[in-house]
Amino acid sequence: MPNFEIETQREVDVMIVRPGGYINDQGGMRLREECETALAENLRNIIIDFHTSEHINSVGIASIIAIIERIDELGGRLIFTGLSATVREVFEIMGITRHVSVTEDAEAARSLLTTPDIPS
Amino acid sequence: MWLGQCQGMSTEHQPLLAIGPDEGFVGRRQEIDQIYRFGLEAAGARRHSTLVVGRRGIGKSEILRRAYNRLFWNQSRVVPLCLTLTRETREVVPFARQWLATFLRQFIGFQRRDAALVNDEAMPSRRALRLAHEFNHPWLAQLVENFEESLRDEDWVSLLRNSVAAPLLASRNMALPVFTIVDEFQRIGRLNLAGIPLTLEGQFEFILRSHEAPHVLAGSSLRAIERLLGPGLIGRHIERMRIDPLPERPALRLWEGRCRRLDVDFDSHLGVEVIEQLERVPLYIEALVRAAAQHGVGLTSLRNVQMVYAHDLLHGEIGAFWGALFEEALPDVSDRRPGLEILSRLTVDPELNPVPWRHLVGITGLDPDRQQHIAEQLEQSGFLEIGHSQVYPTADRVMRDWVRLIHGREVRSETPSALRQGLVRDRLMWTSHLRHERAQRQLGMKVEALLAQWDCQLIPPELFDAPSFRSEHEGQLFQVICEAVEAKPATLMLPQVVGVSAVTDAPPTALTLMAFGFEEGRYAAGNECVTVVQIHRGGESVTATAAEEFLALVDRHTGPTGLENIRRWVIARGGFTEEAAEVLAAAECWTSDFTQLQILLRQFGIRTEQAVEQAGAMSFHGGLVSGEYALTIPMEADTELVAASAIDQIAAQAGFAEAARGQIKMAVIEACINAREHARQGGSIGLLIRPSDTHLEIMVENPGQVFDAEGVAQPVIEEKMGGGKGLRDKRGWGLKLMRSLMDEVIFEPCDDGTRVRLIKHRTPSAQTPPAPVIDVTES
Repeated sequence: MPNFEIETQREVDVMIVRPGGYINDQGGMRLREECETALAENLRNIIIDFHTSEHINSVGIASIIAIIERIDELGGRLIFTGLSATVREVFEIMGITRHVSVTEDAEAARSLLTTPDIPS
Repeated sequence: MWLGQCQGMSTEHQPLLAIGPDEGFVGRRQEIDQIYRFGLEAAGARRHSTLVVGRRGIGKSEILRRAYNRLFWNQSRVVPLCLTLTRETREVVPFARQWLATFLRQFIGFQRRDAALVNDEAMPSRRALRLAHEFNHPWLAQLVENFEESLRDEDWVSLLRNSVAAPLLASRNMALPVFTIVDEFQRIGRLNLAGIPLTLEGQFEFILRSHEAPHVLAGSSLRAIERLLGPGLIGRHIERMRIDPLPERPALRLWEGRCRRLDVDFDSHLGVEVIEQLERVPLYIEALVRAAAQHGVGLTSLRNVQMVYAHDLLHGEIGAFWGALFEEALPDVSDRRPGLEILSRLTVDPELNPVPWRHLVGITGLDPDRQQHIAEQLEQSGFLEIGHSQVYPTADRVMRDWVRLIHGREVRSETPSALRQGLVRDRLMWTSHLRHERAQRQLGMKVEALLAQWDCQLIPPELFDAPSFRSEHEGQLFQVICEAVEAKPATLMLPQVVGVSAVTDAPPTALTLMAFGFEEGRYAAGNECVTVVQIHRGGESVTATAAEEFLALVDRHTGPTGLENIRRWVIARGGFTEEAAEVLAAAECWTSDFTQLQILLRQFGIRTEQAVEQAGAMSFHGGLVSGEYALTIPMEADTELVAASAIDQIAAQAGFAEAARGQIKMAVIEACINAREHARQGGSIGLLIRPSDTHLEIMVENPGQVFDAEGVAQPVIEEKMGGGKGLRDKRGWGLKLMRSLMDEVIFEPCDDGTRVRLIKHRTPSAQTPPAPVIDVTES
């Protein structure tokens, strides 16, 4: 079965997470663990770059909802980038895009972090 | 006395509405269960109405009546009604009176569990209307008063509305919803509405839209009912259910059971040919056996079968059945000859091609309006179907044979004897062709079962190299060859196959299959592979031309998948000419003769019965159906990706654009996860993929509990977050995603669990855009 891999890149005030492979229940849990670790290290801004995630399922997305909730509680910012058309549509259907920002690539995500967050 | 046992009832009840004996009714449990469940779902006010369509004689009425019996005796959550529109009902007043009287008898009969009242179909309508006053519900008395007032005032619009809306009124006034079954619904189109300013569409629309009193409307022609109700209702407010002919085994059981019961000698080896000729339609099977019993003829040879058949079409029960329907369709005698001309023109083409209207005008010599009127009348009785600019023949072979005989007798003045002889001759030839096709299909099933078992096994390479195999083993006994092959090293690794389908446009002399899968069982891009197999069953050698045609066929079918890893394999009973062997060797094709195939089948333990069994293991996968794909995946983590990947290839081949394929893959992943979560342990998930000209349909079937999709609440992200909710509380999105990403998502019970049907229509945005036009003109 395909493996799930995850890469993280820590910068001054942001962590970029790159999940690779299938974000299922296990993949979602791994992703959540990495984010929790960063939050414990006081990195409150997280960019999740999905461009190497070929597939996702709703069980994996449940973990992503938990990540959104947790970052929201701590007043951090979560940005999604590298979304395929299908994954973006799925997030829109579920209403996730109401709670996170979406950019085309990591560079745009970094720029977005320099602008103040406007509360909705 | 009818025993309810076959409907799952534990006690004996008085049968309602004259249902037939159990012994003559086989193989319809699933359909009865489904309609029974529709009735129960009405209790939750979450049931759409349903259109039940099936060809004449297939057993619809019996299914509906048995579902009604079960709803009457086995539950108390909904009030069941079952009305049949009769051929005599043509005028508004008798129709409305009959409708309301039946409603009252059955409604009150159910409240009192009074079978005699329900069965008293001869009760005068005046007496039935008086029942309303005996029942202590003011709304019911008011309903009858309104009806009588409309009758006195000759207000036919109100009269009709009062009668057909009675179930809805009852649902609104009682704690119990009413579930109404209307059989022969298309007959409502025969109502004489001359001078009455209403449309049937309008009468039924508000009832069916409300969902408060779901109806099951049954008939034999979808197009005819669509024409009655208008296109807006069906699909949006009315679901569709199709009743198919009996599956092969129940049909055989019925044929043999009736022969034994009526003491008719029969040859069980002829069973398949007989039931196929009779389209696996119970009415025809029973009529044929009764005719044989009546004339004392044994059904012991195909010749006897055809003689009895031809006689029955002209002079017996089947002939009387279609004759009565024809006369009902065309009560004006002067319409019958042109009606027969139209039917004869439509049914003479064995390919069942539609005929443009303008061609029919030349045949009948009628003005277009009259001709259209005749065709519409014939459509309502199930003789044909009308499209926009053309008329479609019905697929019912028996009806077509009847038309042939009656047209010959009435229009061409041929003698009955000559007509019978002609039909017997043609049907005997057809049966011979059927036997050949059946043998071909069984061989295809064996190879399909073989491919389906490929899972990275190691095999001796010589089983795929016909010339060297032949030179080494020619003249040896089969057992000796098997031992020699088994003694050799097995070094060729087969791919893992996840789905097999038949190729539709292959030459008729050969059978061609495509198997999708992965090399070495690694599910990654680049490891996907397609194996295309062509099997030549005839005794002659495959020629170089046939080999080149095969290579072209493979290119045509595998090109759209974009895959490079294509394996080609030709199996030939008669071997290969030298030139063909060279062509195939140059293209690195595998080649096998039937001895090599037999060894492979033996190594995989595949026998004919087992192959048929495997092919029929999933209720929807009855073997090789051209253009369909079947997959089976184990209930293991992440196997949904295997299904999604294979379906992506199929969708690409069918011309779906990348965006649509992404949506389909996601929906399939969710359907498989849903199936796994609701399935019984240890089973597998079956998938059937059907590309068509208009859509792609994917059925996902799992054993175990029935999934109640209607009972699932719509998830909202904000409700999933906060409040100390755990990870499990954040789930529950699968159904919403499937419904959002696909055009239609239908959950239904199947033999042993749940089936979900995912449908993606071919809209312009869902299809692959055509290649850009390159301007090569000189400027």
